[in-house]
Amino acid sequence: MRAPGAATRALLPLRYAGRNALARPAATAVTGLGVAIAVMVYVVMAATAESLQGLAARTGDPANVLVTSKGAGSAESSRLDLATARGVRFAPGVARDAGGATLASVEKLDLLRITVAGGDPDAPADQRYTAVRGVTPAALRVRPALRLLRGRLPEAADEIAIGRLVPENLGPLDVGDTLHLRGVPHRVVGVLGARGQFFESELWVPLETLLGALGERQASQVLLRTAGPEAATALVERLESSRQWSVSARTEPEYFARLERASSAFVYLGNLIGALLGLGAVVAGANTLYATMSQRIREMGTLRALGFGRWQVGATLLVESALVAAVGGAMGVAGAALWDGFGVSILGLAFELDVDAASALRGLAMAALIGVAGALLPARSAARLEIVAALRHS
Amino acid sequence: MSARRLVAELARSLPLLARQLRRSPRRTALTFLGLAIAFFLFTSLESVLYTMGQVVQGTAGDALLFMRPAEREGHWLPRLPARYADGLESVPGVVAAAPVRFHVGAGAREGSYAVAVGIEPDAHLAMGLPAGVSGDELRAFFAERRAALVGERLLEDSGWEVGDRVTIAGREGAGGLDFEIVGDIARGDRLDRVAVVSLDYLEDVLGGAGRVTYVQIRVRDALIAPAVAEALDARFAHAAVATETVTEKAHLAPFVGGLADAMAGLRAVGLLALGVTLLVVANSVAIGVRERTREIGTLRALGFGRGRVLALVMGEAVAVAIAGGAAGAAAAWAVFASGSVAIPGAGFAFATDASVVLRSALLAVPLGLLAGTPPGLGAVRIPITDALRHSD
Amino acid sequence: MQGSAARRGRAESVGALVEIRGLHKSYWRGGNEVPVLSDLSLTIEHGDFVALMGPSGSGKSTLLNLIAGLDRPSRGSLRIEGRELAHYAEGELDRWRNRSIGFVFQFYNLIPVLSALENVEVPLLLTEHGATERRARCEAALRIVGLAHRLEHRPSELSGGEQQRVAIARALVNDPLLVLADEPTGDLDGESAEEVLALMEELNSRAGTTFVMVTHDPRAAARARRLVHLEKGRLA
Repeated sequence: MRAPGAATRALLPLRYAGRNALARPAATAVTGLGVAIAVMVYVVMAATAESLQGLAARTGDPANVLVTSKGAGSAESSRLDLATARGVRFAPGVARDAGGATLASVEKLDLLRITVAGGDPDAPADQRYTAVRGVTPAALRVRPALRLLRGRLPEAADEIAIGRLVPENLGPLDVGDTLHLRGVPHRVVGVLGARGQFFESELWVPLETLLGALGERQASQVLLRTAGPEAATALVERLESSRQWSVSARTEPEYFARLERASSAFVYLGNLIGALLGLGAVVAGANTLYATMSQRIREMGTLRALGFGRWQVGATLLVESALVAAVGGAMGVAGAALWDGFGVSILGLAFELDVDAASALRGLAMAALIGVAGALLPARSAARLEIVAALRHS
Repeated sequence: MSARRLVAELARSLPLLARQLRRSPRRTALTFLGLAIAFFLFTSLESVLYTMGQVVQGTAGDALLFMRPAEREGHWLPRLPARYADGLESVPGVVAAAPVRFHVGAGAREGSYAVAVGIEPDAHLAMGLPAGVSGDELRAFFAERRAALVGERLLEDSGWEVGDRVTIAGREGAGGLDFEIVGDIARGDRLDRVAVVSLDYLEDVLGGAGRVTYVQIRVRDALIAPAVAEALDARFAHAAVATETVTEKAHLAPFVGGLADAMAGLRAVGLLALGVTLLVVANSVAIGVRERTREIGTLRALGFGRGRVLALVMGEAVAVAIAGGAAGAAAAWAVFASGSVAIPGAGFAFATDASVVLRSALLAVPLGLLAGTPPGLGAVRIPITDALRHSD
Repeated sequence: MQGSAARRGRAESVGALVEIRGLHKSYWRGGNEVPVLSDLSLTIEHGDFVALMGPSGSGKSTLLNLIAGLDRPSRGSLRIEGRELAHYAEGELDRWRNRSIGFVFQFYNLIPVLSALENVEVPLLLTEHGATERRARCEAALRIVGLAHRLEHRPSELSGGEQQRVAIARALVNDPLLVLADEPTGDLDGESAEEVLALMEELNSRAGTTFVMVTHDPRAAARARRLVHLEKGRLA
């Protein structure tokens, strides 16, 4: 009778799988590389999609209420007259600072065609559409998550502050450099940072400057700060049903949430590409395994003669495949990790790739799946070997 | 070993090649499958890139000019006086000019965008009819103020049909824009993703009369476009709003630039897939060569030269590569040609072109040649006597 | 490793080691039944050293495979230590084979990626012995065959004779009822063959290990204590 411990030992030691894998270094390397590439690409694409989605999810403070003109779908197309903008600040529920002033920021948002750093303003290929926000110092006060990393907010008409990730879109820029806005050179005086939020892709100028440059007298939005998420929701209701003001109000996260949908395309694409690469790796793995099996038919027959069951013999192939896939997967994850923090800009939206532990785990799981899937058919073949014929195999 | 002799050897050895491939049908099949998957992926990605290029550039030719306000760091939706379009036909080289106002509203599907283009029907007629619009549809469009001609792709994405009464929800602080769809603009036309309505109607609903986004100008010949553009700008050089006239390609260049990162990434993935596949095929062929060491030794003992043996091995690699590559590329073509490849959330369907598919499939030839070379060289390197003595 | 006394003791209580009565074995080729063994009856006692001989096609390897439990007879009775092998299910047969049979093959059939010691250990992996005990048994087995100094060597680093001796050690390590050898000297030169045969003879006479050997080699036959001739599937 077999003791319980014998069951696990009965799988030949890992050494056997490892040494067999190394006995054919070229085939093992190629198979492992296939897994590595599949895992790396999938993890990086998944991270891209997640970071993009994260932008929408992370931007916005639940204690803030974003007020635009009635019916405006987005801040860029909202036309809020200044009187209304200044008036809603005094709605009940709007927080005040230590000095008693309301925490409210009137802003103008637009999408302008900016010339990249060191680019030719007359060359269309050197232009990029970028979000430009006209602000007052209140803009920082209502956004505690947003910080000045270097320098200060723009005050004079020829000053500009850039989001930390703006260089991903417009090239190398920092405090002291020059950007052109409406033909007027602006000096970069500050760099803003807010981990994974839209604002890191924006250019900030004084409100009056932007209004003047665009020849407009209407703002895009007012951002109102409240005591907390409940107060914010209450304020939203109050403003939406208000007879005094004709505005649209949403909490800031709500406003940005609807932009999340655009990034679902990337999730889908990432999964699709990952699946195809994974399938390719499975096929390559199966091919290698069949080849290695045909070289070891007599060996497997011998193991059967010595008393190993047919599925134990099949399992040796499974272990070998899983081992190679695990190593390949680890390499793939390591490769993907190199991309952590890499800056990407898509249509002016800049973000940093976040390759984290969850991504790594997903990559390893994918590798395991590839290893097992690739081994299924060869292992079954091995299990079905007829002992006598196998022993006679040349 | 000249290329011509190599090919000649190859041709003469075809029967042997076929037998080789049949020797281990499972390995050949799996290698074929791996190649098909890789080429399917590569062709699909190239098709996606092709579509992205098309969306942003349309069938952008240099014979279409956009007149927009001459502002540095301009708006993505600028405003130009509509009357600038008047009398431009008198400028030499200009075939027709028409003002256009763009309006971006919320699409039928949550989170998507729908673009309405307001035109002056008479002026635009001179610009050229959008493809696929019949005489009847055109008449209906002229007759009814709230009528719209909607591009096929927009119809598909929104789930609309000719005859429907639909609304593009407001974005500019005003109400929605409703209209009746009286005709569809065929896929492939530059307007196949927008809804074309009358400018007057647009102005009524949204306000801001007298101002349009651009004036579109059709030039007689792409070669004279730059000169015509200069002449047009000179005309308004001293007006209240100076103009800047550019070709459509130049106009869309900033959008293309903004997608550069993403497109480079997709291309890299496709090439990576092919690169790995090259190694996999090489390895597969190498395994085959190893298994046939004695057989190859026999062939060489019988008088087959090194060149022939090399050609045989490379031929095997090229044959499998072409078969797998063609299958994968064809599969991608079939999928994309159905027009139903729409990544949810992207707001449009992806398509492909025969040139993309062919270009991808042809890469199978160099891939096969490269993959077959190392194993082939390995096969001819072994001394004949050693090969004959080799035991499996 | 059990001593010869214990083995003889067992022999007395159980009777013959291998009892074959009316054994038939045929294969199907196309639609035809091809008989390989016909109405074979044979008895093998504990401590026997039997050589199965005969022209090719006589069925001697088939008989060996049947005794080993690697194949099932078409008809007839095959009892080992009184138990009918045909009654075992596949899994039981595997376990029984691991415990009861040692194999020596013509081409040694050692696992190339494992060392000599690890190769000898393979049958023990299916038992409940702990790592230390396994190692002790393997070293003992290799000592018996005279290869204690080559424990860590891979098969590719050993001569043909040495490899076959490792195979014998592997065959002995689990204390089997009998050792089955299929052309054990078939791939060896004169000197190595003599070494291997001498070892087998010694194991048989001193330790009482039962051997059943299929062979063409007259030198091997000379070492056996009993010759069984087969011709066209029957005892000649």
